[in-house]
Order: sequence, then C-alpha cells, then structure tokens
Amino acid sequence: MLILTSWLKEFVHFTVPVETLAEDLTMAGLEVEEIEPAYKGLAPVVVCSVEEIVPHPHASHLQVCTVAAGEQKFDVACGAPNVEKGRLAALARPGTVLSDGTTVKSSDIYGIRSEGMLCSEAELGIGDDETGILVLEHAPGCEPGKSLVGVLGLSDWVLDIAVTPNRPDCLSVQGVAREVSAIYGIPLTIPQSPNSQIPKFPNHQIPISIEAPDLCGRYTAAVMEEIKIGPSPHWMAMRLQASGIRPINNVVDVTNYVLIERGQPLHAFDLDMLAGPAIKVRTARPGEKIKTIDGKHREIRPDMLVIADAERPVAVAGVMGGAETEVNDNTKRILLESAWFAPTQVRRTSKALKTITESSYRFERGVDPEGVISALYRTVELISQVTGGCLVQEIKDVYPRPCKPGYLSLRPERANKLLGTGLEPGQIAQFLERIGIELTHIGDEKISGVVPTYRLDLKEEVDLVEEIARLHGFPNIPTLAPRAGIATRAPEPSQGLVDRMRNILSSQGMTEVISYSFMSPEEIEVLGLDKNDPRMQMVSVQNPLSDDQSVMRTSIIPSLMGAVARNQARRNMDLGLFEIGTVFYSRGTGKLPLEEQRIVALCTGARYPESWSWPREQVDFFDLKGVLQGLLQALGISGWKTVLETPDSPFYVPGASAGIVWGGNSVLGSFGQIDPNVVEFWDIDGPVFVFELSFNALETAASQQLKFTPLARYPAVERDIAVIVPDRLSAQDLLEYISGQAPDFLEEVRIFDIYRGKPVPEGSKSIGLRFTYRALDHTLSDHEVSEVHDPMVRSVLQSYKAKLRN
Amino acid sequence: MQERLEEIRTQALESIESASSEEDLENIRVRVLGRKGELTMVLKAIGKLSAEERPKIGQLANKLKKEIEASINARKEALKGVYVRTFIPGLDPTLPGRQRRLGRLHPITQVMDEICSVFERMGFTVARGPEVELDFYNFEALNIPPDHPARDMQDTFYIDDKVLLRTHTSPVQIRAMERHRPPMRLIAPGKVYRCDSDITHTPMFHQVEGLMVDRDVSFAGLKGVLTAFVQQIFDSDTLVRFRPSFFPFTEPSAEIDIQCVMCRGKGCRICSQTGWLEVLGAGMVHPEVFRHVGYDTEEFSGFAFGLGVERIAMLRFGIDDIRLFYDNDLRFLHQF
Repeated sequence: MLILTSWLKEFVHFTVPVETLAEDLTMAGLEVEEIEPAYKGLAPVVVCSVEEIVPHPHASHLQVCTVAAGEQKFDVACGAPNVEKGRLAALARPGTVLSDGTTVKSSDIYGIRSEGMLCSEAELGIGDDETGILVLEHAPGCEPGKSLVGVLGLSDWVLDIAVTPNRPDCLSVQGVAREVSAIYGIPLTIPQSPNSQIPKFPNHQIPISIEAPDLCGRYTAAVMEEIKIGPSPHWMAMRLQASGIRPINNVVDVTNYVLIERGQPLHAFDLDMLAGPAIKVRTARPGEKIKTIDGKHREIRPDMLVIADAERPVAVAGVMGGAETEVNDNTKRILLESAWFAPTQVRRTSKALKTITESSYRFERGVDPEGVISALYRTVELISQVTGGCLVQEIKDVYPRPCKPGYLSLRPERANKLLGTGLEPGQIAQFLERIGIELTHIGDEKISGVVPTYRLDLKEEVDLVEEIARLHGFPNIPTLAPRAGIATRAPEPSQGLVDRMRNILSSQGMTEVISYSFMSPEEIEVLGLDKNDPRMQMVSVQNPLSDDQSVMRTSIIPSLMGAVARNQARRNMDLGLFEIGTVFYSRGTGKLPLEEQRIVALCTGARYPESWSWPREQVDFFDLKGVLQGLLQALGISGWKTVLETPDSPFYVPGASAGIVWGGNSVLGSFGQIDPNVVEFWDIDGPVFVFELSFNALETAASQQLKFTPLARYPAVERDIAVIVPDRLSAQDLLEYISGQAPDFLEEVRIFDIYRGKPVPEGSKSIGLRFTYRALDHTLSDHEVSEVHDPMVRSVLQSYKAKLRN
Repeated sequence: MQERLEEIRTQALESIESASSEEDLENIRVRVLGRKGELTMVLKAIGKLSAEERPKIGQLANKLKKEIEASINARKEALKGVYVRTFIPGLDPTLPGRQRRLGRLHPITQVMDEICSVFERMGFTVARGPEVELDFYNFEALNIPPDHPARDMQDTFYIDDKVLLRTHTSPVQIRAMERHRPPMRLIAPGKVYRCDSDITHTPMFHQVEGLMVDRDVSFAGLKGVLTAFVQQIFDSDTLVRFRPSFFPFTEPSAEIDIQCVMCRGKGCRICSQTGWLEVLGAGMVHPEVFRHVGYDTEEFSGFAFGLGVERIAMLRFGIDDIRLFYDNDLRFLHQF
C-alpha cells in the first residue's frame, strides 16, 4: 500500500519526521518497506535563467535558448510562447521523469543539440497549466542552479507499507491515519462529506434489488447527471499516481481516489448504457458472459455474483466492471456503486477468473460495512467538484443484513499473564480507546467495549491482547527465560542414525548433496523399471514451476545423476557424492503418499585427487562397495550378504551389480555400475557406480545392541594358501564354505590376492587366502593349527575340484 | 674343550666389539648361540665328556653363554647411544602430502544441526512429519480456513484438493499436540515447499520451527528464548528487535529482526538500508489452534516460532544466491 504523507496529514496531524513515522508504524505492525520522495522523478530539475534566445535555424516554431543554471550553461530548444530573456524557468536535465512517464534525454532537435527541456507545470506534474513554461521569478528564494523540488518545497513522501492480511482496514489513507492516531494518541481529522445534495429530479427512481443477500450485504447507489468527462485536476492525478494508480478520467479517478482514501471500492456505470435502467445483484445464469473493462471476454459461472441491469451482467461483483457500461468520453449520466460483498465470494471469483484488482483485494480481506455509505457521499462530493455533475436522486441504500456492533471483553490479568507484563487496567483501557473501542465497562477484573466495525480482526479476547502488546510496544515487554521442567521426552532414534550415516559417509570422502524433491517423470522412466514397480507410482504436482519438477521423486539416483551432470559440465570430474532424503510413492488421490528415506551414494572419476605420488586411477565397482561395507561396518551391521540377482534394478550393468541382504531376507539395498544407456540420458562421461539403501531396513539391522568383544591376549598363527578354482566360483561362496568347516579359533580368512593368467589355466582363477588362527585362552601350537587347517584345505580342494598353486 | 671355549669367547667378543649394527649383532648371536651355533654345539657335545669334566665344562660354557649374551646386549645399548644424526637428502618437505578425498556435509545440514542443537540445549526435542501433507494439517488446523486471504502468504504446491506439499513444518506441531499433552517443547526441522523461484527463493527449502506449551508461557519468555537463540547462532552481542506482524496461528505475532550482520546496522544493500534483517517469525499460539487439538486455552499457553535455514546460512556465510544450495557444485560444497 503506497501512502502519500501529505494526504495522510489531512487525516491526522502528525509532526514527527517521515523516518520516525516509518519506524513507529513498523514497530506497531505496519511494516514500512520503503520511503521514497514523491517527486523522485523531478530530482534532476533545476532553476535556470534564460540568457539568450535565438530562432531555431531549421524549425520556425522553435527557439534555441541559452540558459544558465549556476556555473553551467546549456542550450535547449523550446517552443513555448512565454520564453523571455531574463526569465527564471525550470530546466529538466536528462534523467528527469515527466508526468506522462517519459524520461528527458539530451537529443538533437532538427540538428541542434538540446541538453534538456524547459517545462510547463503540467509536464512536471506539479500543476494543470500547460500553456507555457513554468515561470519562477516570483517563487521565494529562487536562484539559478537550485533544485526545483527544494525551491517549491515539494517535499512529500510515499511510504510503501506491507499491510498484513488481518488488517484490511489499513488499506487506505484513512486506515493508516487511524493507526497513526492510535500510536501517538493524537486526534483524527477525517473530513465528513455531507449527504446534503438536494435531488434535482426526484422523479428518477432506479430500482435496485439484492437477490443474494448472503453474498451482498449492502448495496448503495447514487445517480448523477450533467457529468462532463475530462482529465482530473492536477492534485488528484498526482495523488493517484503517487499511490500507484494511473489517472484515466475525472469520474474513474474519483472512484479510485475514494478507494485509496477510504478503502471502499467503488464503481461508476454509464447510466445510459444500463438496460432498464435497473440494478440487480444476483448470481450469474448459466452461459452468461461479460467483456470486462480490461478488454477480456469472460465466461461467468453460476456460483459467481454479478451486478446485472434489466438484461445482462454489467459487472463481476467486487472484481471488475463491464466494458459496455464503462464510463467513456461521451458519458453524461452515471450510476455510482458502493457496496459490501462477502469476502469468500469475491475471493473465489477472483481466483477463478485469475484476476486480482484493487477492489477484489480489499473485498476479499473485508471492507467496513458501515463505511460503504460515507464513501459514497465522499464520491458524490468529489464528482460534483471535478465534473460539475449533480445528484438527481436520493441515494439508495439497500442493507438487508445490517452489521451488528461487536462487544468484547478483556481481563487485564489474562493479558499480563500472556504477555509477561504488569500493565495497570487504566493503561490497558487507554490503549483500547486509542484504537477506537468505545468502552462500556472498566474494572480490575474486566474491561469491555464496542469494537469499531472496520476492525474485522478483533473477534476474541486475545485479539485485544495483541493490540495492547503492540501499542505498549514489543520492546517494552520484558525478555525473560521461561521457566520449565527438565525435558524427559526422548528424541526420535531415527535422527541419530541419519546423523551417524552422514558422518560415516563423509569420513569416507563422500560429499553430501541436497537435491530438490521434484523431478521429471522421464528421469524415472529412463531407469527402465517394471510398470508395477512402486517407483513408477509417482505423485504429480498440480502446479509445478516447470515440467522437470512435475513429480515427487521416487528415487534419489536421478537426483545424484543430475548433480554429476552439472558438476561435469564445470569440469568437476572426480565425484564421491551421497544424499539421504525422502522418496514418495503414490497411494492414490486424496491420500498421503508413502514416504520413505533412502541413502544413495555415487562414485565416478579418479580414485584419489591427482598427486605426484600415485598414479591416476579411475574408481571402480569395488571402491563403491568399499564405501558401502564401511558404512555397514560402522553402523555395527554384520551378517549381511551379497546376492547376485537385482531384478528390481534394471538400470545396472548386468553382472556388475548386486543386492545386499541382511538377516536372511531383509533387502538393505543394491549397488552396481549404472548402465551406460541410462548414464547417457544425463550426458555424463565415464562409468558411474551407485549404491542405494533403504533407511527402514538399515534401521532394523542397526538396532542390535553393540556388545564388547574381549581383546585377544595370545599370538595369532597365520597360514597362507593360493587355490586355483573355477572362475565362476564366487568369493562369498568359498568363504562361506570355509566358515562352515572352521574351528572357533579361526579368527579371519582374508582374500589377499586374485590372479588370472599363466600359469593358471583359462577359465580358472587363483585366490590367495590368509587364515588367521587365534585362541582366546592359550598360544596355539603349529601342530594344533595344522590339525584343523590341513583337512580344511583338503576339503576345499575336493569340493571345488581345486588345486593348490605352487 | 676349554681351549675351544676360549677360542669362541675371543672371536665372539671381538666381533661383538666391532659390530656396527643390530643386524651384525643378530648374526653373531645366531653364529654363536643359535640352534647350530658354535657354543650350542659345545653344549650339545658335553654329554660325551667324562663324568668329572662334564660339570666343569658345562659350568664354563653356561657362564660363557651368559657373558656373550650380556656383551651383545651391552653392545646393542652402546650402538643405540652412538646413533649419528645425519642429513637425509632428497626429501622435499614442501611437496604436498598424500591427501585422500575429503567428504563434507552440506552447508544446510551443518547449519540445521547447529540450530537444532541450540534448542536442544534448552530442552526442545526434535519431531518430524510427512513432507506431503493434508490441507487440514497445513492450513485448517492452523487457523487458515479455505478461502482465507492468508493462504496467499504461502504459494502452495497442490497434489490434489486435499493433499499438498507442506509450506511450513507447522503441521508437525499439530500432529505432536494431537498425540501428547502439555508440557511440550519441540522443534520440527525439515524440508518445505513453496512455488517460488528466484535469487532469494527456491521451491524447496528448509525450516526449523519450534513450539513450547506449558502453564506459564508468556510473550516475555518467547523473547527470552529467541534472543538467546539469535545470540548463540550469530554474535553474543547481536541486537535483536521484535516487531508486530501477523500469522494466522499465533497472536500476538512477531517478526524478529537482527542488526544487519554485514553493515552492523549502518544500512547496506543486504538489509535494504534499514540496518535490520528479518530472521524469524514467532508468536503466542492462537487459541483456535489449541481448540483444534483439544488443549484448554485457559490452562495452557504457548509460543511458536519458525525460521528459514537457508536464510541463516546465507547470512552466516555471505552467500548471495539461494539457488547455489541446490546446484550442488562441488566447488561450492567444499567451501564449508
């Protein structure tokens, strides 16, 4: 809401400087976002004296004037009749913004350089005179070189106030004035417009009816004749412009002027265009259409409220008038509307038509039902003043549901308890009076009063507590540590686990990313999932910002692929990334989707940062698996297995992927190399390795209570062997076979070497195994170890038709 | 035999004396005392001696064994003592070390953890809820009925008529109050969504909201908790300003400004020349919200607050474009 301070001063005579006013309004809840000089566009305008005038060599209607502004001299072309040597005038230097919105530039006019412009009042937007240049000889203190704004005292300000949705009463000069009055405790001086115009032609009677009193609580109308349409006087146009409204013609401008001044939306119909003439406030009939004043043809639905004449809708109630009945240059007679429409109704219509106007904005927040008529009086007064029109019919006021005054009570003790203050009842009563409450009872227990009709936000006791808080001033409320008991509620265990996983992964060189929860359906579809896969049950956003953010993600893999693509585009090639976040599976309309947490990590590029001390190597499958193992180990998850089948993950390279299973059948997740065809979708270079884990499954697996293992006190015995086995034998199978045979003092079997090639025959591989034996209670003897080791090796050789190497 | 022992002794002691390393000494030990060592062989041969010679030679041999052992040990000690510090050439200590890749946590995670821990120290516990929410929890139960203009304060992503992406983490408060009776002290950190995208807005961002409900919770207490919070997250001497505002679920409502961290209140581009930066929204819980969850509005009062994690992180690190957080450029992530 833009508020011009000079306008505000007509309503409340504050004396503080504008900066203080802005600060005080902000601290009372009307946040002033900006203070701008009202005549900002005139800042480059200076007073100049005309020193020399010569005819323009190439244009007979122009003269070239040499003007002096202080030390500097400028040549300007001018066609005004009242340019005279020695005259003081207003020189608009380049950068000046004129009242028609154009910016003055230095330019060639018929071959002569003109370094500005000598302006008229009208051009400067400070008066109506457009017949010649503004003459300044008589202005006091006027000297060449001085700023025009300073000389004429045009020190007016525009405050840009952010009005919160609960305070529609502040969407006007009058409303802000009421606040200023309440803050400083100074009186309001609202000019009252009398309903004194005597009808000239009492025989005119235009029928007005409200068919939907729930949606239109009050409709008032005035009929005026002898209207002469023309531009508004300068003062009115200037105030409208400063308030962000473009002047149109004197009638429309008055309706806008009263809207800004009183907060009451108004509309003027060309009476001669109204069929009947009659006014019916009714809901629209099926199939009705209207062309509104913005030139748009609109279909109106039967749940919308319209103003109709005898035949058709002529306005969408509270939103916008119709073009056919709009006031135009030939208008002679008008019907003025000032009404109260139900906020919800206007809001729905405005949403449906995707049109927000100054009117709809106020109606949907709520206007003062009691202010409807006084605003109309004010409009009639101003229209007679600026158009010469006169009222020809008694003002009609159809008010089927008169607004009842609201009574509210406040307990001072309650207010003090909520705020932590110690205000006296008398002080509280004063605050309430300042905001216009008519007190009916003041006691220590209770203070009661009648709430002004414009304060729609004051509905219960706590609303009054807020008023007291802001008028007392938030800074004057003490700042205290609240008293409370010790908190005994345990935090959710899952959060601790997420934090641990983040730390474990980052300690392994992985960097956390956070991606949007949105993605495009194509990013999921490219994964090649079965159509019944839960990840294909995507939740669509009705109003996405773009197509690539139109569904909620069902997998985090595409999020990380996107991050890789963006990084590679900037030549960040070596990436170890992870993300822990939510995925969403649809469960149908009207139901909340299933939300699950996923842990996804990705490696691509070089294994280590490039260095003089080691060769540049690319990450591979086992780098990624190492990170995964590290995570599971640090979480204390043991007894997990790798399974070779990953039927749900067709996006991995066949053979270079696996699943992770814990506790027999709980799938923790999968890992593998992403299929190059999938990688290509994101325009990514090089192989990409990914693992994806389910948080729920991990949480179960990680929930075992950690138990201490005693430290071994006796030395270990190591035995190394290398066995040549068929290539297809998996390491996991071999190790499982061994652990099935092993005595309890076999501490560990470690694969220290894998070798293929000569002399190992084709189709076989050599696996180097290191057995570590250790007993908890004594030092093992060679003999003791050999007794179990040798038969075990023999059994391995036999079962897998293997041979010992060397 | 005695001569042989003498011979072993002389040779052994000589070579021990001239040994210049532990390795030499070990070789001498093996040569003399090892399984097939000179002295060991003598000891093994004792059995073949006559009965009167046997104890004598045995005694001598054992004595010699101890002497040689002692001598080796003494030489070992001596060798340690005579280590000569010499310059190791060819090592350039200025070469970079072998650094493994460092992993980092996302700056939002780091700031969020820090925010949460400040409140956790004050006895608030973390609560969570769904990111896709019912209209009821996101709006209606928070005193924002359908068709209320306050809905315009938050541009909402809708899934269907009843389901939306939560625009704040306040629904978590409602869900918690439905389950638990006061006293209540919780914070709800998490992702929230609003359809907006520019240099200061992303369609997804993070919030931490908090709620405290008890018998004597007042606005003064709200000021106390949030002032302490701001001064722990920023500087302990940061000026804080509470000014009236509007949220449908609190009354009185406040916005909390801190003195601009860039210009220290002088006025700059970051604070739009005001000297203040808005960092938190807060207020006393509106009775209508308590009615929705069946709390007695006479018995209990409470305050709620909310803040944007990105905003705090941007102020903290001087980041000027919020979109950087979700671009996940490694050059950005590795700065934190």
